[in-house]
Amino acid sequence: MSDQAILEVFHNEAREIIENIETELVSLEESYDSEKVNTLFRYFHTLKGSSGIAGLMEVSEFTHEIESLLDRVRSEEIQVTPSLIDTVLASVDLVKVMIFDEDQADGLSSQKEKILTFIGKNSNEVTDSSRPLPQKRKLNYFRVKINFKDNVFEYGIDPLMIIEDLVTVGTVIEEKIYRSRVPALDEINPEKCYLSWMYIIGTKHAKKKIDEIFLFVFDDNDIEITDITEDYREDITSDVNEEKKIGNILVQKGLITEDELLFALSNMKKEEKVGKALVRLKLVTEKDIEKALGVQVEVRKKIESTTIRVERAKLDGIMNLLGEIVIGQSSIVRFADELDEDKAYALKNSLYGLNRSTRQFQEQIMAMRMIPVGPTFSQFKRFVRDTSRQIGKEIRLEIMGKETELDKTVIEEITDPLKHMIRNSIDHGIESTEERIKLGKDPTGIITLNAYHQEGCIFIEISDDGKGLDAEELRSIAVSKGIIAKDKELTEDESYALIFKPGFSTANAVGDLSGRGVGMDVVKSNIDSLRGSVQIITEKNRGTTFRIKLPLTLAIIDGMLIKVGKSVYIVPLLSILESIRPRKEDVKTIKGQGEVVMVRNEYISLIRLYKYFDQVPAFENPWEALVVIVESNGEKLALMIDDLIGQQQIVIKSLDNTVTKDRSISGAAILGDGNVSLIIDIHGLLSEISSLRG
Amino acid sequence: MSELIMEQNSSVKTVSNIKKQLLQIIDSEKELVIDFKSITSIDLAIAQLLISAVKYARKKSVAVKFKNVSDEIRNQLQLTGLIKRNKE
Repeated sequence: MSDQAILEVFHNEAREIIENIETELVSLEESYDSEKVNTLFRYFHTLKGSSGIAGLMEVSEFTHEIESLLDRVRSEEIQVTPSLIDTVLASVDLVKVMIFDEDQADGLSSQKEKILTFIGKNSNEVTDSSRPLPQKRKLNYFRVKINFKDNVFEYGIDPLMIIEDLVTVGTVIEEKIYRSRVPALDEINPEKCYLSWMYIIGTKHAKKKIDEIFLFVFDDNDIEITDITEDYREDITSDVNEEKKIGNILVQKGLITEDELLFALSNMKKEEKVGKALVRLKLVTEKDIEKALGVQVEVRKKIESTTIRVERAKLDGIMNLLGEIVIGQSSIVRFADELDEDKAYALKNSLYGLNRSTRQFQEQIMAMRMIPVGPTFSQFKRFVRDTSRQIGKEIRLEIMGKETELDKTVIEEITDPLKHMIRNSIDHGIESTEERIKLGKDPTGIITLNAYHQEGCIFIEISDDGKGLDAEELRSIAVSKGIIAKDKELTEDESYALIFKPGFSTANAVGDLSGRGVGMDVVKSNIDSLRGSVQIITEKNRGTTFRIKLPLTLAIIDGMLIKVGKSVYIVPLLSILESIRPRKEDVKTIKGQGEVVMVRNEYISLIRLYKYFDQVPAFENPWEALVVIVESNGEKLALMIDDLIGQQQIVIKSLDNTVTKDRSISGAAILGDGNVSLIIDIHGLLSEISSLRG
Repeated sequence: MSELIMEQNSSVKTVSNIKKQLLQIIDSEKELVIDFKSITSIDLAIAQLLISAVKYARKKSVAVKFKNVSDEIRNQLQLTGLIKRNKE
């Protein structure tokens, strides 16, 4: 690429970054949020790097200074003040001139000097003298129920002093003083305590601080301190996109915990409403229910005025259309390749901007399909409670990462597998109460569900603090059931993965829940069909974690385009381990295993894709062609192909069963040249091949 | 009208005695005034007794008034729900 072309690309990128910086700065001025500072830091960092590459060293050095300033803000060394915002905005103006209007830049040295002075030695002085912007601090929220013993005064304790200490530890969000037990004067024993309290407190302190307040009265009195930070919502009506149930509102207001809600739900009388049950069980008052109903109405109104319901099919329609646009764009890029160099650059440069907009457009539509996993996770609480009781175990479900968002379709597809895995942990993972006591463990077992984003994927973890998996035991069960041969050597991980084999069951007797050996294999194939994978992490007597990795969406994949004969196929990038050209001596035929390729002392079954798909290949010898090593379920395959074309984001078009019943094809995509290409499903291909081999 | 002046040592130790005085006034008068001029704070036993007295007075249609309530006592009475907290 010529210098001029590099500069043009940089100009496009810089324009966009600067716009983003300005928006973010104004937003930061309106309300402080550390994430906004991080974003700004990243923008300046990118700008620094790109300007360096484009040869604009002065810009690169100057933006480095601003980046350093923001770094100090990030580390809370200096605060965000209006003058800091002004300075960064002024520096953005200066950067604009330096990048887009180089001729004018020389006349701006004094301005630059001023900014650098601010950033440099005087920065603290200047920032300190102007008013710091309000900082958004994260508060912890606690529900404190206080019920002193009748004779508390006899111990020389004045509960009022304790209550006074409590209310000064933070902000009182809710205060309930139960006075109804206090008798009238002619009946009262004034030396007895009748009052009780419930507080919801927001504080920057940790729970320890509240515990300390009750240190001397905690053991002898009925004091309950619950950390409700995770569930509590300061403003329930803000940021809502779906109707709220009364129970959830009460949980989010901190008046009840999720466990109490579950307790009420499972103790509801016939045709009784949850609100009534909560009042009957004395978990809330009628007044609380009335208030919650008010919030419910408010939420409903807000949804009506701020959101519109769109059928999913319409969103899918837009997604498909966008797919067409992406295809159109790739065609134009191909067209550009046929132009002479200058025109091609000009065209590609324009396409660069269009590409970015399309990507953003794609992300926006994806975001519309995303919903948080919280409600799905929460529904398992009741399930864990009921099923663990059923088999006489004490198990609690803990939930983390409720806010993690995932494509609605993926959530729907993953719910059943998750349920089965939880059931498996209840049944096989967590020991019986007696066993746990014997091992010195807490009698109550804990199953944790966690969801988080990483590496552009979503991870869902199901962990238990149970007995862990025993590789040797699993292996011998598999041998006894004829799942593996007696002399088959397995690594520890391969032994753990045996639980996903059809017909495998570790239960000694067939239980009500799991234990029939049906399920975990279905779970695995469900996850595979979502293009996901499962990893097992286990430790004896410490527990087991199933880590499920899933794509964020089912609509788009990163695919590798491969050529087999005259056709182009797509292999999901997630399944590819490597691609190699094997040596002639590494390709062998082994009895019972067919053709194999030796890769680093490991024999991997070789599949000649041209034969499988009935194509006329360019090469018939693997050592002349290429071999792509793919993996699914811990099993590897070597796919012989003619060529690798390249990596591309693929918009998947599903094929119904009338087109193909072949499990090795999971869908199709339209390529830039308008041709249709089939997407190979590695898990399906493995199944097809094993059924072909009988 | 009868006035009860809360004495400096008013606490759980003297609460039974104060109860007697309060009963006597409510049973015989139409209005009860409780004066806090001599004290700066109260304990829960006293605060609770005042709740109880207000309940009883209401039954007997006797008006109850508090006098010379310091900020500290106001705060304490709020923590027992006897005085409503001002909305901030």
